[in-house]
Amino acid sequence: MAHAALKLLVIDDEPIILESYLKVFEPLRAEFEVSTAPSGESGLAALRETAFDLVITDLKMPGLDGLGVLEQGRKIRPQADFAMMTGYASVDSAVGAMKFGATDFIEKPFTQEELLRFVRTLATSRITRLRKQEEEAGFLRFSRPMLVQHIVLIITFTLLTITGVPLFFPETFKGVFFLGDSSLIRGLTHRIAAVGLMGLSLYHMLYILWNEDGNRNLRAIIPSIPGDLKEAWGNILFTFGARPERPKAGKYTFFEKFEYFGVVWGTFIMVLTGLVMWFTDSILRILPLWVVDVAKVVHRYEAVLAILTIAIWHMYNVHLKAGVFPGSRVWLTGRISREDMLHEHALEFEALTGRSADAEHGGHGEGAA
Amino acid sequence: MKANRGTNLWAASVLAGLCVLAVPGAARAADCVECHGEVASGAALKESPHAKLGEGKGSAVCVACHGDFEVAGDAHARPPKVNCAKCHQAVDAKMATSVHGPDNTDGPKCVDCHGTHDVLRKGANHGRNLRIASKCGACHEKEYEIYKTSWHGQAPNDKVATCTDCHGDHDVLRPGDPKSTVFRLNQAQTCAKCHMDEDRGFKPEAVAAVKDYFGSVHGLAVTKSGLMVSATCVDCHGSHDVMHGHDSDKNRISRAKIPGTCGKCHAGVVNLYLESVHGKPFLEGNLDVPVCTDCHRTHQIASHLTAGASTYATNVAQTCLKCHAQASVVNKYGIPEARVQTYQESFHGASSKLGDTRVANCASCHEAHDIRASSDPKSSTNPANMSKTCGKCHNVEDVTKPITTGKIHTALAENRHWLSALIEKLYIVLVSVTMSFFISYIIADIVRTSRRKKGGGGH
Repeated sequence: MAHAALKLLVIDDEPIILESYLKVFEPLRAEFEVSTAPSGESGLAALRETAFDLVITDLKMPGLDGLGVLEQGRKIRPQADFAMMTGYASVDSAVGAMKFGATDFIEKPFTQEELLRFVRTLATSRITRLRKQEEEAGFLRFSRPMLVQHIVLIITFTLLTITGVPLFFPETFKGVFFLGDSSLIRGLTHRIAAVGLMGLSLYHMLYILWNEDGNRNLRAIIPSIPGDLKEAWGNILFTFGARPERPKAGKYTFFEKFEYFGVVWGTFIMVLTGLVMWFTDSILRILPLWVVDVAKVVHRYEAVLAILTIAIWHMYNVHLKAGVFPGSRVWLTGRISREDMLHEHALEFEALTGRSADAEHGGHGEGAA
Repeated sequence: MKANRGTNLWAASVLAGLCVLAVPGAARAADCVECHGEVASGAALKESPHAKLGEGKGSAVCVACHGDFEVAGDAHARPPKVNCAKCHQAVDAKMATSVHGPDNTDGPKCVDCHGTHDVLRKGANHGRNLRIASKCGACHEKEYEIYKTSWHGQAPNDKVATCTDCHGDHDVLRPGDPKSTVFRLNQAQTCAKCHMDEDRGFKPEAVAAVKDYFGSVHGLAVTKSGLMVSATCVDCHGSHDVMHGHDSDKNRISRAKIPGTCGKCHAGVVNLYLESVHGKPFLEGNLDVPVCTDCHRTHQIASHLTAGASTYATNVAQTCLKCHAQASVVNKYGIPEARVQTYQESFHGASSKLGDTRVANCASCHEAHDIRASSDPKSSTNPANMSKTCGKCHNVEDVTKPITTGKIHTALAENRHWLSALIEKLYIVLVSVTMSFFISYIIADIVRTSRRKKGGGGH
């Protein structure tokens, strides 16, 4: 995939300058998508509207001048790069503007070649800067509320496992810590953890439905048919050696989506059957005894399924597989490295940066060599 | 050797007596022999430890006990009454504290037990058990007759207990006297004196059994709480009639006698038992059924509230399992197979195995003594009574249909709802398929990654 076009905003009170931009970049539409604004004020308005990558503004304008655009524009779009255009007389001011965060400046008048070179240089240095920033900080994968939810899930799941599994192997766990001697504590801990898990599930539901971040993630994780199936099949083919490259994935790979909905379904099943067992006495008032037996069977096997899936599949994929071993820190920091992002979530990378993952990958490889 | 020395001493003392014949007023053995030849020169006196009494005192041995008295011609006055206490003061003091009283009272006299001229050293002869018993038996006839038929009375050796070993000898007290060795609270220690002594040739397990008793609910009640009604050795084994082994039908600890023996104190539960599915065949003479000791054990018997007891909540299943998992029993009586195993696989069973005393065990539902077939309308597991039975723990006493129609022991195929069986099968398939996929995918992934690394191709 080619680079997405760089979104360029030109702000100048001289129409001729704006026209020259449009003229220069018209043939390069695939690379640059130019918008113009005739004043500082209208420039800021456009900036509020669109996430421009690059803003080139004249320094001296009636009304809001270039410095004002720089100052307020950076607040609106911190990720955008700002450059100045200036006449000879105000080169000093342009240099001053760079102290306030402008990337570069170009002196008027300029030829078409000079303008093109200037903008290309800005574009290159922007990508270099972004890449450096990405290499240093990686990408945000999970927001703090999501990390907290995950940690609460780890705690409740672990407690439920520790206090539930002994019933599978009563001989082994007889007399082991609190798990054997007093089942009052074991059972009580299991129920407390269960209530914790139910609370978490409720909070999670509200979070994905009403919180912006949650809702964004919900939309990202809802499976798309047939895209996800293709991706899964591609992954299987790749893993078993029948395909040279792993298929690209978005924020959530097919397997991650599968796991997530596995957890959702599993939690629903476990909570339902768990409640049937917890409140057997009341359940028996409305349902036959075999319902309780079915609940026990389901609770038992669903637990086996969940525990094995987490222990084998989840642990391997997030911590043990090559490239991650001996452990990922994403679940603690919420951030994913640029390299992992390119490997695992190329489509997400492209969506976030507007740059081609393949190209970045190659470029990165050369850079590292 | 001893006998020889005795004879020598006897000869010496007779000689000494003859040497002082001239001394007037003193009775001399030779004098006694003249009239009482039979006694004075008899073998009994020769064997007696008293034979040497006259030695070196210038008097005959006879007078040591019979005292000094004037002899006029062929006759002499009736000698004073023999007073053993003259020499045996300590023994006499002991006697004074005993139920028999000192020698000069109405009770048995020294001579009643020890004899007169034939008095012997302690333990001098064989057959001490019966010899002693026969002495006591002179008065205590009934006890003696019983004792003779007991193991102690008939044992192939005479080291076994005789009257004095349990009751004491000179200091014998009434059994009701708190100081008596056979007082209810002291009696077990008295038996233990011998029965915990491995040097006497008791089997280690027999010695262990006595030790166990002291840790049992009966033993602790006696030793710690001083509970007079708690069982001691004699309550189960008998006292004068104590028997050996379990084989004899007369033995009150034989299988056929056990409910009766326990029932002496535990009449209520034994009556419940005799009405139960175990007790009815017992009354008909079937000894395959469990009796009290099969579940409660014997010397180790502990309260069902004591961890470790065979009837403790978490051990009940194991106790029932002894018979109910035994193919011979199960087949012979057509007991539904694997009942206990199905319990152990249930939530109640697993939780109980873990140590939870609150979950139901066999007895919670089937009762302990009053176990009845579920077809019996009085049975706690009769469908009509199930709500009440489950209601002991669960708040379902007023729930009827789901409980009366529901199946317990559902690990048994016949009790299983088809849906539960189907879901289990589906889950087994699901788990196997999923895990197979996960594992093969992971292996393939590892292989693939390591190959790519070796190949040197990028990522």
